[in-house]
Amino acid sequence: MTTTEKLYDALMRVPYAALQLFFLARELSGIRALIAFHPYAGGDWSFVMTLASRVSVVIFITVLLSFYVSRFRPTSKYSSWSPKITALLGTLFTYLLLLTPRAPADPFWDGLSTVLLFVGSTTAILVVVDLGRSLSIMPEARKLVTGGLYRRIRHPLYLAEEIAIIGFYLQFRSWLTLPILVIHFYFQIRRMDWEEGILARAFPEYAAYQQRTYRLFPRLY
Amino acid sequence: MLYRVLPVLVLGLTAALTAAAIEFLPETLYFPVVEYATPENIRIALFKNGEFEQSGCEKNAAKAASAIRASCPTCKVLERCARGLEAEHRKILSREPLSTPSVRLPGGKLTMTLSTSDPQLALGVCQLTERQSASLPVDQQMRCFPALVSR
Repeated sequence: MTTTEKLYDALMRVPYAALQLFFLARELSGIRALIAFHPYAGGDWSFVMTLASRVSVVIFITVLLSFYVSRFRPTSKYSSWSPKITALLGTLFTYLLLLTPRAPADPFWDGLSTVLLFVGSTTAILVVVDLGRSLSIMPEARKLVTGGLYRRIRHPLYLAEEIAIIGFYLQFRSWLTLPILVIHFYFQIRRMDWEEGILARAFPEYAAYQQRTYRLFPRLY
Repeated sequence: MLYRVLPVLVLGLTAALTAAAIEFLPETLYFPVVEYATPENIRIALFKNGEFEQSGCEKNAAKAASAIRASCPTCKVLERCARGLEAEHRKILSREPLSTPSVRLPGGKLTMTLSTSDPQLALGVCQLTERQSASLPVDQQMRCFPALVSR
């Protein structure tokens, strides 16, 4: 890879990383505001649960950011804009949630949110360990990974992300924010279509892998 | 191995960061405190939620102090901004029982402690404050907690 290519690749990572850093800073400030409003937790477990759910969001964004910054360069990608826009919308749509007001603190929903964010973030880390530095935002081919969590399903990272995002949504849980979640799901499914297309194009063995695996849920989808 | 260790690590990290936020973030905030003594020698201390900036805290403390001065011109009022929470301050803002009666707004937005040589008088003022705020909107209704009662 030439220096120019390396520089271009590094520069292309900046906007999305900056956006994630913006939301990370916003979430950290939100946690500080929560503490300012409730400076001493002493035995108040519902508050601890609310705080833990907010901390889980910070961990989730940090995990995504670190994966994104350290990934490989693609070996194959689409030249048209449509797959790129789909991928960007799929990724960015959920950040809109962070710009809407959160639902009032509730130990049940905040507890469930923490559990889902924990399961989602942990699974995402495990998937990325399998994936190595082949993580993509856009539908791009880097290296074909078929082992570990990819053995039975083709998109375990999407599954992990969606579990975390449902957990994330539970902190907002309103009719106003539900369309954001639904549109996000739509773009993620389209993103999987594009991703499978580019992988099939880049790796001849991908068709066989597709035949023996499910997309998201073993035996279901 | 990693599949077993990682969930424990993430869970541990979440718990550690949550505990660290509770323990250390108050140290980055400024807390308005207003103390005053009435002519009947009841010492009242008013504690409010934290502020990000010292200027905001000072403004908040001054606003509370001037409201007290307006309603009690003979009271001796002192306002200050505390950086972080001292152990006693933490206890007052927590749900733990205190040795004196205290009055609180819903959600602990504001806590007032009342101390005097006559515990019955302090309790009486506490209960009176609760009764007087009963006609206000719910978020401004104060609740009186006698001494040694969980709040």
